[in-house]
Order: sequence, then structure tokens, then C-alpha cells
Amino acid sequence: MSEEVKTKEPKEPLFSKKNKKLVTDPLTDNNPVTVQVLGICSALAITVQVEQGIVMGVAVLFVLVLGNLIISLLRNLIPSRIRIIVQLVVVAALVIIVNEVLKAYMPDVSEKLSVFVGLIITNCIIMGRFEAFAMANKPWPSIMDGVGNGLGYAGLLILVAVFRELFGSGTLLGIQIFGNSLPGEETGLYAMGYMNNNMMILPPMALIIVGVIIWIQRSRNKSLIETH
Amino acid sequence: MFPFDIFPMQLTKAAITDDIDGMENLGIYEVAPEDFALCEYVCTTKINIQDKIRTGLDLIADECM
Amino acid sequence: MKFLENIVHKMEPKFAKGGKLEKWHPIFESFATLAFTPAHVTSKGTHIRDGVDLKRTMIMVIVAMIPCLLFGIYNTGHWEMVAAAGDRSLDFWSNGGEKFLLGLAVVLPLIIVSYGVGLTIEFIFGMKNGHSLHEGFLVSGMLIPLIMPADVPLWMVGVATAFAVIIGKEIFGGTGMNILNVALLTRAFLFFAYPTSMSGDKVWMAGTENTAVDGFTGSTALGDLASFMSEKPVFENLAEYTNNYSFMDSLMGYIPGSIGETSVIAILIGALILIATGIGSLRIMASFTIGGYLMGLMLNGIGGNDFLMLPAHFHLVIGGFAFGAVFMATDPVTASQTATGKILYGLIGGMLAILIRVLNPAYPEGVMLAILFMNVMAPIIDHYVVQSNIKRRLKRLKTT
Repeated sequence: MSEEVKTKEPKEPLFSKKNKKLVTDPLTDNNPVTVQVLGICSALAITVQVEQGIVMGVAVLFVLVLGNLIISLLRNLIPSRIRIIVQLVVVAALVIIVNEVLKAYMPDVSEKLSVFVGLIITNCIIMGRFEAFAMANKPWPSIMDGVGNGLGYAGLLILVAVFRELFGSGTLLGIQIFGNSLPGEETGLYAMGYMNNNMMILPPMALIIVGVIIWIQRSRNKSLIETH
Repeated sequence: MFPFDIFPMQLTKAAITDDIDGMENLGIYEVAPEDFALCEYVCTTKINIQDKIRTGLDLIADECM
Repeated sequence: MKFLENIVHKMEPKFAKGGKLEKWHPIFESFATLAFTPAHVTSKGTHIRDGVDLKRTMIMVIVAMIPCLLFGIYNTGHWEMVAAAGDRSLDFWSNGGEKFLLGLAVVLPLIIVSYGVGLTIEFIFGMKNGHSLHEGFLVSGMLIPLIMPADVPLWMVGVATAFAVIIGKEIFGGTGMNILNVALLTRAFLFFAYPTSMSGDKVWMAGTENTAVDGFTGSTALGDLASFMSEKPVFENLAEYTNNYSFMDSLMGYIPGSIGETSVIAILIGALILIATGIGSLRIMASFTIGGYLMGLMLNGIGGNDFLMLPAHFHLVIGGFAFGAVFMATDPVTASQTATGKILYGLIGGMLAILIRVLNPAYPEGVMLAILFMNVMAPIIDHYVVQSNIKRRLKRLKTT
């Protein structure tokens, strides 16, 4: 996605510096997961395999971009008292679309993600972006904001999933990296005594990996360290 | 080691962190730095406890008087 | 000795601020203060200080662990021989020298790996943050081999040690700041990450896989007991169990298990050293044991199956209970710090340990989980103890 954005760059005003910042910021210094620490629950639950991570990331990206667009278009029509309800309706509708599409075309992944697709509705990132950005900005910046935050979330999800799948199951996207781990017919590293780390499959390890990523990010960029 | 009904370590911690409420609650008014001499003698990390308590008392004197 | 001290003093300027080897100062200081009295002079307060400091404390704990270590090495060798012969009735004290060497070949690499990995990480963090080596790992590094099964692969120990030192300790700021006991965290990590290497009946004796006899299992007393909960227990009933593992055997430590945990006698010698030097907390050790015993009695009262009916005093001598009570629960950093808190901490910890051990067959080693859980709870216990002190003081102030 990010490459697509870059190639379109010359098209001009749509991609002014400010708009570009909306996309790039959430990828690094304002990442929704590592800096704002939103949407952690799903990041812990569904990052056991890279495939699930990618699907979940794309699903959130889709909901976030379209939702931001819709809310932004409606922003002057929504009475502020019931804005949360309107936002919820929009998210719910989009999530149901995503869920049905997944069920139709990727039944096995949909099964693994189970309830977590439905729980995108309650993902703080989405409500947070609607409330903080789309309610106050024009449609185009809102879309950019959605793309940025969605990519930031998906990127982190995939990063965590890579670690967990690689060390937890010894595979990446289902391809065996370290050799065959079936007992009795081990090849590659397994023949040398290597074993998969079951801890990586358990949710606590995802929390620790996210924590380590946050640690590395903050030690590289001191301005992110909160003082209190 | 510490004959009063006071937790010397928690009190010292409160003094180090300039936590006035904490110090008052833990009974800073009942002690003098010299009361901590024995604690200082046995302390394994060689912290100057009397000094910390003195600083804490001075801080309270500055803030509350 | 004087000669060595002179050399060290001559080297000192090189490591001081502005010196050639400034970067290595933390390492230099660690070794210098380990060997000699530090040159600090008191500036105020009491000018006479007790000779004890963190390094000396830690070394005392290691001294207290030596009986366990020696017995553990011998025991490991013994069970390796048993596994090779496939005969559990081998005499314990015959062939002593050979057994000791066999055990040493298993235990020594474990110690080297645990210290090597742990100290390297400590040094890296020490140099980065400019403080001297944290002494805490001197003890953890010795505890880790003692709570490992004999057959655990070395690389796993390395990975787990690295994990425990970085995630369990350095993240929180090093020695004195950690919430969880580092050695136990290492074991817990291995237990959850590589369950097949940390439990079951294959790992407790080095070389079980090469046994000469079919059907020989290297299960531990606890493993056999836990099988009372399953469909087909190893023993028909409790009497048969006590025939196999008598109370005396368990007390002396002639049973398979983690390297250092089997002999309660060796652990008690260590406990005496810790208590006599005032380093280990008698309150925690005693209340932990009492808690475990009470829970054992309570479960006896409930009854139901043979594991629940196991006499309470057996619980105190099998598995890691004694070792946990003496060396793990008493860790001054992660335990409660107030006197009342320590008693509560020990009682609840001991009860939980037996409760987990008996009621959850998947986790026979409940002591580890119970102590880790209590580590997390310790600050809360302390908080309430301190709050009650504060309330008492306010009341006193009101009445006067």
C-alpha cells in the first residue's frame, strides 16, 4: 500500500506534505499500537501466524479507511450527542461486510480469527481515529489518516506475527524455515536438537514482543519517552 | 534494630522520594536521624540513611513552616 | 595477597574517569570489589559500618547452596547409572567416585552456561549504563542449574537465562528492582516454552533414552503421584507408593528430580547457614512450610483419591517444596519486606504450592508457580501492612 502511495506522488495537491505526514507518522513515531498503545488485545490474540496477521491488518485497514471517509463526509450532519452511536453503526456495518467476505472467500482463516473480526468494532484505534480525526477533517485527509493508521497497525501485527510464527512453529506463512519438526523425521535444525518455543504461541509472549518493540523504538527516539 | 512502631525502610523510601504525605503518615515526626544509626550500620547497600532522614525532615520544615 | 592488591591499585587510574580504559570501569570495579574491600570512606552518619554488603551477602547464599550442589551432582550421577542399567534398586552409596564424575559432567556445563550467558548480559548492561556489575546474578546463576532437570539441553538453558535476565530483571532496572525471581522465571520460561524437556518421565535422569531396559521410566515421585489423578496411575495405591519412595528416602534425597532439589537434608544445612548469618528470613521459611503442611492436612481431610490422601509431611520432602521455601521464596528483593507481610506471604505461598501441586496434575511443580504468583502479590501485602501501621498511628494521635 505504501508503495502505491509513493508512486502517485507527482499527482500533487492531494499529496501535500501535510497529507503525506498523515500517512507516515502513524507508521513510525505515532504508531497506534506501540506509541498510543491502542488495539493491543487483538494484537495479542491473532498474531500466532503471519497469515492471520496479514488478514487482520487488511481488515482493519479497510474498515478504518472507509469508516474514516464515511464519518468525515457525515461529520457536519451528525449531532454531537449521538455521534458515538453513529460511529458505531458505521463500524458495525463495515465489519459485517469484512466478516462476510472472509467467510465466503477465506473460510479457514475466518475460522481462526473467529470472534476477533467481530471485535474490530471495539478496536480502540478505529473509534479513536473517528473521534479524533474524521470528525474534524475533510474526507481526503481522513482517508490518508486511515491509511496511515491502518498500515501502522497492520505492520506491527505482521512484525509480531513473524517473530511468533518463526520461533513458535518454525514456519513463515506455512512454509517450514528450520526444517521438518515432526517427531521421528526431523530435518534441518530440528535434527540438531532445536525445538519450537511453545511460549511464543501463548498470548503473554505477544505482549512481551510488543513490549520489546516499544522499548527499542523509545530507546532510538528519546522524544517518545513520557515524563511524569 | 528499630524499636519504634515504624517501618524504617518505607519511611526512608518516602524521604528519598520527597513524599511529604507519605513521611507524615509513616511517622517522620516521631524520629530523629540518630534513631537510624543502627539501620545505617547494618544496611547492606551502604545507603546513608541518617542523611536521607535529615533531608526529609528539612524538607518538611521548609514546606510546612 | 598484598602483592595482588598492589597490582589492582596500580591499574586503577587507567580505569578511572578520563583514563585509557574508562569504558571498562564497571567490569574492573566489579572484580576489584569482589576480591578486596572497597575503598569507600564514610563521610557522615555512623562511621562504623557492618562488613556485610551485597556481594558478601550473595556469596553467603552461594555457600549455603554448596551442600545442595554437591549432593545434586552425586544424585544426578546415581540416577544416570540407574537409567543406564534400567534398575531402580541400585545401591545409592556404592561406586561413589564414578557417580560423582558422571554427575559433574552433567551439572558443570549447566553452571557454565547459566553463568556465562547471565553475566555477559549483565556486563553489557553494566557497561552501557555505567554501573558496576549487579551482584544479584551471582546467586541466580547458581540457582538456575540447581532447579533444572538433568537432561535439559544446554541451549535451552542459555535462551531461558537470557530471557529471564533481560525481561525479568534488566527491564526493571537491574538487581533490586525485579518483580519476579530471576531463577524461577528461567524455569517457568522453560516449563512453558519447552514442556517436553521440562516435565514428563524422560528428562529427570541423564541418558534415560539410552536405557538398556524396555519400559523403564525416569519419572519422579511427583510425576508418579500426579498419575493418581489420571486414568492409569503408576502405583495401585498409596501403600505401594510409600514402598517405592519412603519418607526417609525423600528426606535424604535418594529420589530423582531437579538437580539440587531432592535432598531435604542438604537444603536444611543451607537453611541453617542462611538463618545463622541472618541472610535468609526464618519467617518466610517457617511460614511457607507451615502453609504447605496445613494445606496438606486440609486436603487429607477432603480426601477422594490417593494423591489427596498423601500424608501432609510427605509433601514437604518431595519435589521442589523445601528448595523453594529456603532459596526461592526468601529472595529479599521479590518477597514481602515487612515482618507481618513475610509471614502472610509465606503462608499463602506454601498453601498455594500444595494446592496447585495436588489439584492440577498438569503442573505437578506447583511450588514454582506459587512463588512466582506470590512475588507478584508481595507488594500488595506490604501495602496493606504499611496501611495498617498508618491507621494505627492516626488512631494513636487522635486519642492523645
